[in-house]
Amino acid sequence: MARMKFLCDADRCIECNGCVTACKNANDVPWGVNRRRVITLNDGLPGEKSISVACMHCTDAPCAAVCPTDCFYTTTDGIVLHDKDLCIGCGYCFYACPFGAPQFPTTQAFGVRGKMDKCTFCAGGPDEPGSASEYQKYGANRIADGKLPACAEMCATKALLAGDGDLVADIYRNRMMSRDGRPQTWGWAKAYGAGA
Amino acid sequence: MEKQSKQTTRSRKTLRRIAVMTLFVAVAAMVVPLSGYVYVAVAQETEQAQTQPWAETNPRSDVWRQARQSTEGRSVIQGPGANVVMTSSGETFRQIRMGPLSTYAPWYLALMIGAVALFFIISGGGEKLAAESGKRVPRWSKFDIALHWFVAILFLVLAITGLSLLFGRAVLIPLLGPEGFAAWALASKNIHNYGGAFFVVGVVLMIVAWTRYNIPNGTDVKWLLKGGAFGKHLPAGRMNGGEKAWFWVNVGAGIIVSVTGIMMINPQVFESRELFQLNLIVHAIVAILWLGASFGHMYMATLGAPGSMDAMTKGHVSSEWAKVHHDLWYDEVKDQEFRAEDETRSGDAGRQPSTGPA
Repeated sequence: MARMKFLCDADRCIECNGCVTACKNANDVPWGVNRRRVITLNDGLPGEKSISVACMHCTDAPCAAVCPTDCFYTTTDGIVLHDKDLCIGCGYCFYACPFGAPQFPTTQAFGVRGKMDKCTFCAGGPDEPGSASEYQKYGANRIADGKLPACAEMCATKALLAGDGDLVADIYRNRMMSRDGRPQTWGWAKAYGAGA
Repeated sequence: MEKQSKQTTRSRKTLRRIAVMTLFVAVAAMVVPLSGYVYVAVAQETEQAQTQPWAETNPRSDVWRQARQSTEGRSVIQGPGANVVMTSSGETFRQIRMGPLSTYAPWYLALMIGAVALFFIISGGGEKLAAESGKRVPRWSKFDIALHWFVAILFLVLAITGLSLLFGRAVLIPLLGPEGFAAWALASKNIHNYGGAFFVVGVVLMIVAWTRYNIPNGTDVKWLLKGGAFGKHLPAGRMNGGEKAWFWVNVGAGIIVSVTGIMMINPQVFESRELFQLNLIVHAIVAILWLGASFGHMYMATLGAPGSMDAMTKGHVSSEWAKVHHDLWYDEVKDQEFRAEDETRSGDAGRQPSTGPA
């Protein structure tokens, strides 16, 4: 079985936010909820880099560990999904997550959190694949259609890669081998001196 | 004779010389290898000086190092922590909540129940009071009684809902099933959030209304030190040392639980994730310690000191109870003493608890 992974190539990301838009469009994500976001480090300085972040579908997911109703589950593809029928909107998953992936619509009185929403790797949820209720709650199920997440497919510079971890790693390794610039191998400077 | 002694002196001299030489060699053998450290230190310094121009870091690694170290960047998406790629504090939060908190809290609560039960078995419950004469003294006003039960009922409701959210996954999902527990958990969350707001008001009113009765004094210290809590009847005023200690536990725990709770139900105002993680852990620990302490209070009010319950149900207590438990206070309020039959609700007031003949 494939182990699905995201990888963002920070050398290619141009902070166009196309992935964010593609995600919102594909999954009909409500106002105020962003399953994916782009963060620019050292913005405006030489060497600024952008990274696109969403749920990283952890193997030992902290959100699943702290959930009071145990609503998370991992698919055979290694995708972490959750059941909105069990979610109570307590917010603990958001506080446990290292990536700030879980999002909460605040449409109720007193700004009470609604049911959590997060990146599903475009794999829908526990409802019948392709059903109206699944689309309404979780958005598109592109995985069931044999497609990969909309964000990665839409990425103009192919900075954001999604899919089987082995294939993603191969693509990234090939890029690194042929990429211009100083070799980034650890110990290079020690062996050959700076600038070699 | 003389020759012999000369020889002895010489051989002694030789011996001494051998001893000194041996000592010198031994010390040198120990000290000389240590110079290696000096050599290494000097060599390292030289090497560091030489590698200075090479010490530049890998810019690609630097970006990911920044991401890993929660460096704040810029994002068009707004929200708490939206401009940070990774944070580690959530993992600490998870480890504490699912580790020590979930492990020791049930043991603590079980231990407190066990301690109360053991105390009841050993002491055989509260002391039997003298036969009641029907004379009674007023203790709490109707406002005090209402306030007490307002806070007490909310306390229990919040304890049940709060424990459901913390331990329901382990305890209640096997009983109710995932859907059944999710419905109960959602109700628990809402009851806990909205009930908590009223509870805060109750705690504040309690602090305002009852602090004046609970200023500690020397009598209370003696009461506590000499074992007043373990059935010995020592001089006590309106509130004894144990009751005052419980009051101040309520004040301390009440303030901590209220402040952390208010911050947690207003995530739009208190946005920081680190703050919420800390609040949730502190809130749970203090609330569970408080719940355990409350078992002692419940025991004292029911089985531990028979007749005490009247104070918070009827507002007055029997004179016998007052004389035994609060002798100094009884002397103060003796003149307010009345007969149970004088009370307008005589039928109610006349019914005495099982401590003696009515």
